[in-house]
Amino acid sequence: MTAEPLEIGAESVERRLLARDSSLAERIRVYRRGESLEIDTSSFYRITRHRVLFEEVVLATLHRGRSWRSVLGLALVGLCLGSVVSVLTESNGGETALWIFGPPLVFSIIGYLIPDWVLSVQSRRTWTRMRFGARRTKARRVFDELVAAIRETQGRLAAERPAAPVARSPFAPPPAGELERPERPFDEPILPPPGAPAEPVEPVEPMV
Amino acid sequence: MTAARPQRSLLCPRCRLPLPDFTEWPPENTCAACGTSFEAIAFTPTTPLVRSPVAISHAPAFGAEGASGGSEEAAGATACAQHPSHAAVANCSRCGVFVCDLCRIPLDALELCPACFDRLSREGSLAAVETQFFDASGLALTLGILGNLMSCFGIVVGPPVIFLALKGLAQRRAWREAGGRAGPIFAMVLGALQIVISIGFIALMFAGIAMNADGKKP
Repeated sequence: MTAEPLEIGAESVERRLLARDSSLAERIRVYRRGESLEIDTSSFYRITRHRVLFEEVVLATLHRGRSWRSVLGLALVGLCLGSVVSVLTESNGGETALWIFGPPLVFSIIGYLIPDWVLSVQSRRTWTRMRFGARRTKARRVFDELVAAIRETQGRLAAERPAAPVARSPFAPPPAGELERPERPFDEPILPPPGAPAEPVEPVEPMV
Repeated sequence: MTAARPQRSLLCPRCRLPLPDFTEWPPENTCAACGTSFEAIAFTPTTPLVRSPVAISHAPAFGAEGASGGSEEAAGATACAQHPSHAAVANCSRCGVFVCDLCRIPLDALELCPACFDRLSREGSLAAVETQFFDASGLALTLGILGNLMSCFGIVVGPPVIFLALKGLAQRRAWREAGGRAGPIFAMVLGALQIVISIGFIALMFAGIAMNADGKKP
C-alpha cells in the first residue's frame, strides 16, 4: 500500500541494561527497551531472548533474598577437600583440614549474610527476575522506575481503548426508550367490553 | 529465569507457588509456602490477550472506502480476506490484503497479515521476532582468556578473537544497546595481546635457533 520501501523489523528504541545474573549453566541479562523488558539468556554461546510487555504485567515484587545454595555448596566443597586432606596427610591433618575447610566456609557465611535484593516482574504470559546483590538503592530505583512505567503504559492503553460493546442478555428488560409502550389509563379494562362478539373456539377432539 | 507458558495465577517470586488471590494487595506480603516477605504492586492490564473482531452482516466489494481506517461502524465495512464475517480494520503493509482485528499483527511500525508474518519470519527478515542469537562477544571473551593462558597459540587464536569481538560490537549496535561495549573491547585487547605475545615467542624461538646455528649460547 505504501510506495516507499519499508524498514521491516526496525527496533527503533534503544535498550538499556538493568540487571544481570548468572548461574552455573547460563548468564542472564535484563534490558529495558521502551515499554517492555528484554531478557537475554546466554547458554553455550547461544542467546535466547524473551520479552515481558508492560501492557500485560500483573505483578511487580521486590524482596530480600538469602541463598542457602551457595552456603551449602561451598561448605560441602570445603568439607570434601578437608576430609581428603586429613585422610591423606598423617601429620597435622586436622590443622591442614582447617586451613582448607575454613576459608570456603567463612566466604559462604559472609555471602549468606550479605542480602540479595531480587526484583520480579510477572506478566500474563511470561515473567522475569532480576538480582541486584547488595545494591539496595539500585534495586529500589529500578523497581520504582518500572512500576511508574508500567502504570503509565497501562493507563495510557486503558484511556486509548474504546469502550467495549455491552453484551445484553435476551432475558433482560429492554433499555428505557428502546421499546415504545402505548399509553393506557389505569381504568381502561383489559377484558373485551360486554356485547363484543366472542372469538370462535375450535372443538377439541377427545383422545382415544 | 523466564517461563513462556500462559500464567493464570500470581506466583511467589521465590518459590513460584501460587499466591492467594488478594483483592487489595497490602504493601508487605508473605508467602504462606516459603515464608518470604516481599513488597508487591499489582496491576490490572486492560489489553485483551485475544482481540475480538467486529462482525458485519454483509461485505461489499474489495476496495470500498473506510476499510483501513479502523472504523467502529460494522455496516458497510470491507470484509477480512480470511474471515468474511469480520470487518477489516487495516491493510497488510506487505501485500495489502484486508485484515480484521483477529488477523492483524502489529509489529514495530507495520501491520502484517498472518501469511506475510509467517513468510517474513521464516526468511528471518523480522528482527523483532527473532529469539535466538549467537553470543559472539561471549565466545570472544572466553577465547581471549584461554588464548592468553596458552599464549604460544596466540597467533592462531588471536585473529578469530578480534573478529568475534568486532561481530559482538556490531550485534550490540544492531540491537541499539546503550553501553555494553566493555566486554567486546576487552576481548579485542586480549586478542591483540596474545598475538603480540605469540609473535614474541616465535621471534625468541627463531633467535635461539639462529644463535644455535652460529654456535653461540643464547
